[in-house]
Formats: sequence, structure tokens, C-alpha cells
Amino acid sequence: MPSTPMIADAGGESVLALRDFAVRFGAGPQGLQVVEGVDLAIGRGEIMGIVGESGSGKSQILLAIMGLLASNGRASGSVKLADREILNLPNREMDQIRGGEMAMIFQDPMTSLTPHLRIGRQLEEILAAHRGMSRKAAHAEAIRMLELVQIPDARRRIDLFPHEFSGGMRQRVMIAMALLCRPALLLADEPTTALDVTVQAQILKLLAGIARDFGTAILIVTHDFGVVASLCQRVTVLYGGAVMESGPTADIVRRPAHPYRKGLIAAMPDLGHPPGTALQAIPGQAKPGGFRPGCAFAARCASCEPLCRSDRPVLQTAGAGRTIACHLTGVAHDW
Amino acid sequence: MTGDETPLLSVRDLKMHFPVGKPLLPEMRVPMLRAVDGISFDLMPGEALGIVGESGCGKSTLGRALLNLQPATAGEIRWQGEKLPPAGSASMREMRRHMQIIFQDPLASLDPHLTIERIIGLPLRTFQPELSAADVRRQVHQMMERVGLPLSAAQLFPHQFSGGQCQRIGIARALILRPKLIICDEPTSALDVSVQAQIINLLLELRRDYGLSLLFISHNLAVVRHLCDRVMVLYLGQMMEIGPADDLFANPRHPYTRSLLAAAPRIAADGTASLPDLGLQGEPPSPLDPPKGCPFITRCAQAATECNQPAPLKWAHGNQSQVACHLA
Amino acid sequence: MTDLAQDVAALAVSPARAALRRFRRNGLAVVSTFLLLLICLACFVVPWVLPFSGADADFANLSAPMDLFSAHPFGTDDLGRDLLVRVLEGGQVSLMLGIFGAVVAVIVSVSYGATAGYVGGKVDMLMMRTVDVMLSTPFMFLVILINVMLGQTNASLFVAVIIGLWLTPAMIARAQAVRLRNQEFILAAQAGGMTGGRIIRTHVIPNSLNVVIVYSSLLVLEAILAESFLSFLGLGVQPPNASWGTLISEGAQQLETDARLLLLPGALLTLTLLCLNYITDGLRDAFDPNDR
Repeated sequence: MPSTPMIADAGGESVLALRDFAVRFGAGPQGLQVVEGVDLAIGRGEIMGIVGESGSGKSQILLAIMGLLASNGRASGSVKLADREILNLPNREMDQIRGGEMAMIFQDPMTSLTPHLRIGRQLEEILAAHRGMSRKAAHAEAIRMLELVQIPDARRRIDLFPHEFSGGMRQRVMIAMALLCRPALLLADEPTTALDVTVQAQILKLLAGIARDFGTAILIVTHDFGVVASLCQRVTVLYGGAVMESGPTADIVRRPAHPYRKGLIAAMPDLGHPPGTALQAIPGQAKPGGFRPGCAFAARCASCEPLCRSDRPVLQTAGAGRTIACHLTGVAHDW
Repeated sequence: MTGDETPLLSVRDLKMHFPVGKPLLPEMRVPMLRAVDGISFDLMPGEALGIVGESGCGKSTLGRALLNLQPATAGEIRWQGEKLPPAGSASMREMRRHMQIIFQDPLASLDPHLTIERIIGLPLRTFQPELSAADVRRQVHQMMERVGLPLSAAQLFPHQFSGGQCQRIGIARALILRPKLIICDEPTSALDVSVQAQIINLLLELRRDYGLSLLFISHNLAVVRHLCDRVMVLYLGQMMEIGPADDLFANPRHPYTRSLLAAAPRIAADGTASLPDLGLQGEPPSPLDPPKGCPFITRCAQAATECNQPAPLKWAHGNQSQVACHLA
Repeated sequence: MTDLAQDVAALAVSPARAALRRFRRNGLAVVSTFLLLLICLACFVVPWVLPFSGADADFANLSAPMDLFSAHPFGTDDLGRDLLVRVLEGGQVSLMLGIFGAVVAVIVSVSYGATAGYVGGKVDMLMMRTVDVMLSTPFMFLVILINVMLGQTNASLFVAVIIGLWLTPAMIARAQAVRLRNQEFILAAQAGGMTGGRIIRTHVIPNSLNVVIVYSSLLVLEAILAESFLSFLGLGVQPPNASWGTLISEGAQQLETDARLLLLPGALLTLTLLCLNYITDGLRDAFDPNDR
């Protein structure tokens, strides 16, 4: 893991900058607020993780950045791609950006690969559309990209159909597709969740290599803290659509300050827990969306105070490059 | 472990081979998918045995084979010393009250058009048709309370519950007949970490209170370590290693076990985690065409020439563990 | 768990009730249902109320024109029979045959198809090949065969219509059962010790019904159409009984002299079929969410 956490700042340095970003479905009082008040910035070659469980709204953030929200979804705030505001751009302009400067990979590779086209054809189409390459040039470049993502025997495999690849290989093909136009930003929605642990390790290594060698900024969304800890320099913890904590990964993992993060650690079985004893489960379950007054985690928090239920905590700075949204942090916590 | 106790479940050389596609002519041979390829083990009463492996290793097929939900191609399964009756027979159905299963996808295992009260009560009504409706309802409510479901939710339908709650419903249904064995087929894989912990705690309690044996199938090593007394590692339908959980995790003997443990991202005390270096190349070969000899040979960093022969099962750790490896 | 306590205030919403709710929101389907009910009501109640039947000849008023305020609102035919009553009474036969025919066809086809699909293997193959053979036999041939065997009565018409009708829903029910039998809740039922028959009754058939319900209104349409067609050809309802088919047949023959004899039953038949069509659409949108 790279040793210096980069503190990217809004402005010229960052590849992607979100300010006060929010996503809402539907209008009026029946609308569902799924994400609120998200700030983050990623610099060149940096890998940032967004961690959250189901219902936290994390996937919606990526979809909204790409302009792929469902028709009744509205994103607000500011999304800047290399200083250019891309939120709510018309579709035509987004089409140019998507796949070009900004690409996304998904949890299930089959969804972005057309089942009845050979993958060579799919890769070449992208190259022709975005980089105006001829068939021959595109074919060569596609093979080069497949070799880059470590698909063995790429020259032969380029003529295969998606279903002829295994899960891990399909994921690599999808990464290759995303990288064809050398995007400055790569968005990844749970890219390794559906993969076996050994294959996951290989894909994570691949992503780290891409950030290091091409300077691509990567924003990865996952529910697996282990993935984040091994890959990302910085992490944002999301619960119920609101940011709970944000900062350098090592710091957040080593000294979790937010009750949610602490609760998760206590609930996970492998970190020094004596086997056979009860885990400290977080009671209840996450309810998607629907912002009530107060902290999003209040209903399940072990340290909840009356203030937590009435006032939404604001993100406060808490040490180098780290922010946390909790009323209790100034009071009793040990960082 | 008392040596002369009859194992609850005794499996010898179990094989599940599935033909892929149909032959054009009856004489033509068809490729066989060797999902389970010669597995032997014993499960003692009250024991929790974990079965780990990646996708394609055959663990789910093994789980279903043990319940005779799919007939085995070869090999023997004994329940308390007696051979299992043929699948689909009335005597097999009778035995099902002793062995139950909970599934990976909690919602899919519940009939969408039945209330959860009916769903949980169905096994009761199947095996004890003489019970009155009131009796059934009383037992269902008791079980709902035991697994942490509010009684007022009895008339709701599965889609109105969350994943964790659906899993509780599945557990209630499995438990209502007081079985001796519950096979858990990746029950927490589809759940969030926080909910997963609730389910794990529930299983721990129930195991203690009802004296259950558990066969816990999962790819999540941490969960398995937390719940199980012994762990079996599968690869391509064959057993690579089996032994007491603490020993297996502390001293993995098989190269594959070592790779599995190394591959899971681990967070060190100082908060860093490095990308694991596996010593593993490539991906698992297809179960349609497994290597002769040790199945792990294509990816093992230590593969030697003798690994072209099937690996022998060796004892280790004072006869409590077994490893299938030439080099162990 | 506290979240669920709040949800409990919500009513249990079975998939069926949710579907009905969706149906109610479809304006066209609701209007069509209403209209259809009106037609049924008219066909069964009005002739009962009026003092004369469709067979009574009013010799004083042969071929009377339409006069909404007279004793014969829609006039009479050349034999003095009141047209309104004749058409409504004809509707009784058509509708009853259609609805009962569809109901029986649904029961038969779902049981047959669900069993074949769930059991699978050779049994399935045998059952479905039988269906295939029957499907490839021309419908007219079957009808004539049945008429010869059972005589030309209303009952044989009933049988003929059902035999023609149950085949396609059986294939649909079987396809549903095949899809269901791999689902985990069926596996769970097997693990719970249920016999195959019970599983079919408790799990397979109820979960197939949503697809079949959509089809059943189409079946009513097909039944009525089949009956009309057969009667039109003279293979169905025999005089003096009337159905819309026979009336249309007679009316067609007298088209030049008295167009009402064709138009009235024709209009009512068309209206009924139109309503059934929209109801089918509504049911499909409501019950089969994949199609939306």
C-alpha cells in the first residue's frame, strides 16, 4: 500500500471532486432521499473507497456521477471532473465523457458485455467510437489491452464470446474495456464481490497496478472493508446515505472513531474474536433512504444520545485529512 | 472426541457426477461434470463442521447430496449407522425430520404467496397431520419468538421482510421439527456484515440450546472459523484438508489452504493491509476436465512430478487432521 | 426488529392483492370489466324480466322496426320474435359456454401442465407429446369426431370447446412448473418431507396461477369465439336454441332484407370480445410484472 496518503484538495489537483452531493428519487414529500451531503475529492493515481452496506446509497453515487440514474432520480450539488462540472449535463455530452474520460466497471461483468457479440468486436467498437481507430488498429489495441489485464493467450481469446470466459476473466475483460480510452477516472461498483477470494486478490492487484502505472484515479464502492484496507489510500464510510467518517484508510482502520465503524469491527468474526462467542451484532437493520432528523445511524447506535436523534451531525475535521460526523467525538473519544 | 460414539453422518467416497448435455447416440460418451469426486468424512453428534472452498468446488452439491435431495452417483452416506433410503422414497421422507437445510438466498427459499406463519408451519403439518390448527400456530409462534421475529408479523408475506429476517424465517422453518442436523448452505453470504453477525449469534445460541449438529458451507473463512469445530477444505470436488478449526487456521498444511488463508485481505494491527501474494497462478480448472492426480497441480507453486498421481490422504496433528498432499 | 414493528401497522400484502390493486388502476380494464358485467347482467336478467321469450312469436308485429318505446324496443324478425330478447338469450348460451368452458379448461390444463412440469422426465415427455398430437390435429376434425361420438348436443359442444381450449394453457402451466421446480422454495419443501403431490398442490399450482389467470380471460374470449364459429357453421348450437353464432349465421343469410338480424348479435359479440381483450391486457399488466 502506498505510504503517503494524498490529501487532494478541491481545485486544479483533483480528478474528481464532489461537493454537497445528494441524490433523491421522486419529488415532494413522498420522495426518497438516498444520499445526502457527500464531499470527496480524488487526485491522479489515487484510489478511494466508499464503504457501506446495502441501503447506504453507495451504488447510487456512482450511477449519479455517470449520469445513469433512473429517470425519477435527481442528483444535486456539484460534481467536477477535472474542474469541469458534469452534473446534469445533457446526455449527448455525457456520452462523450462516459467511456472516454470516465469509465465504470460493475459487479456482474455479464451485464456490460453483450452476450451475442465476440469480445473483440465489443472492444473494437469502443475504440472506433471514442478514438476513431480503424479496424486493424483497434484490433491490435484490443489485444494489447487484454494482455495488459493479464488474460493469457489474448490473441486467441479475443474471438471468444463472453460466456466462454470464467467469472474472473470476464471481470478482467470488463476492466480492459473500461481502460481502452485511457480514462482519467475509473468507477468500480463492487467489482470483486461476486468473485472468489483468490481471484479477488488478483483483480485487486490489477487495479492497484493500473492506478500506479497509468495514473488513473479509482473510486471503488464496496461493502468489504478488507478490500478497502488492502487497496485504497483513503476511504469514506457511508451509512444511510450520509457520510459517517472519511480519511486515510490506515487511520480509520487503526483508530475507528465513529460508532458505526466500531460496531462493524465488533461484529466481524475474524479480528481477534475468540471463536464460539457471541459477536456484538448491531441490532436492527438498515432502512434505505428516508432521512429522518438526526444522525442516520441513531436508531442502531449503542452510544446514541438524545442530541443524536434530533440534530444531524456535521462533518468535522478530526486530525490530518480526516473528517467524522458524530456528535460524540468531541466528548469522550480517544483519538 | 469419544471414539466409540456412532457418527451422526458417515460419508464414504461420495461422488456426484453429472452428464453435461445429452448424447446424440446412446453409445456416445458425454462429458461428465465431476462436482463431487470422492469425499469421505464423519460428522459426530453436536459437532459443527465447516466446509470451505471457492465456487465450483462442489460444496453446495455436497450439501444437497447429504440430504439426498440429489441422488449420489457413487459412494455411501450413512445416517446414525444406517444407509440412507433411496431418494424420493417414503422412508427417506420420514427421515427428513431429522435433517434440515437453510439456503443462501433467504428470499428465494420462501414461497412468495404464503404467509410466514404458513411457511414455518408447513413441515409440522407434513409430519404431524394430527395436530390441530391451534397447536400448529402455537408452535409456530414459539419458534418465531425463539429466532427473534415479532409475532405480529406472522401474517405478512416474504417480500415484506429484509434479508436477515427472511433468513430467520428459514431458520425457524428448519428448526420447528427439532432436527438433529442442519445444513447451512452459505446462509450469511448474501447478508450485510451487521446482519451477518446477528445470524451467526443466533446459530450459536440455537446450537447450544438444541444440541444441533451443523454442517456449515461457506467461502468466508472468518465466519467458518468463528462457528465451527472442524473445517474441511474442498477443491474441485475433492477434499484437500480436514482438521480442528484452530489447528487448520493456525497451521495450514495443504498449499491450497495456505493460499485461501493468504488471499483473504487481513488487516494488521497498525491498520495496514497489503495485497496478498498468493503463490497461486491462474484460475481453477473446469470441473469438466479435472487434472489426473492432484487437482491442485495446475496452480500449486510447489507442484512436483509425483503430483501427477492422486494425492494420498495423510494423517497429521496426532490423528486429528488429514491432508491430501504428496508434499505435506 | 423495531423497524418491523412499524411495518406491522401495514397490512399484509399478498402478491395477489398487490396485483389486484394494480389492475384497479388500469382505467380501460376497469371499464371493460364493468361493461362485461353489464352485458352478463343484461343477458341473464332482462329476458327473465320481460314477459315474452325469444321463441314467442308475436304475429301481430312481424318484422317490426326498431322503436325504443314500444313493446319490442329492437323490433322483431320475420317470424315475430323479439330481437332484443333473442339476442340476450343467445348471449346466455354464448357466455355460459365461454365462462364455464374457460373455467373447466383452466382447471384441467393447470393440473395437467403443473404435474407434467414438476415430475419431469419420461412422464413429462409423454404428457406433452400427447398435447402436441392434439394440437396438430385440425380443430374441425376433432369437433366433428366428438359430435359423431356424443351426438350433436350442447354438451358435446361444451366438450369440443374445452378440448380445443386446454392445450395451450397446459403448455404454459407446464413451462411455469419447470421454471418453479428449480427454485429454492421447492427444494426447501422437498427437504421438509412433502410428497410430490402435496408440493404440486401447495406450491406449484398457486404460483403458476398468476400466469394462468392472465390467460384465462383470453380463454373466455377464445371459447366464445370458438362456439360462435362452430354454431355459425352449423356444428354447434342447434335450433331452436340460439346463440350469438347461430344468430349471426341467420343474420348473414338475411343481410339484404334485414340488417338488424346480423348487426345486433354481431355488435354485442364484438363488444364482449373487446372487453375481454382489454381485461386480458389489464390482467397481464397486473399479474405478470416481467412484461411491464
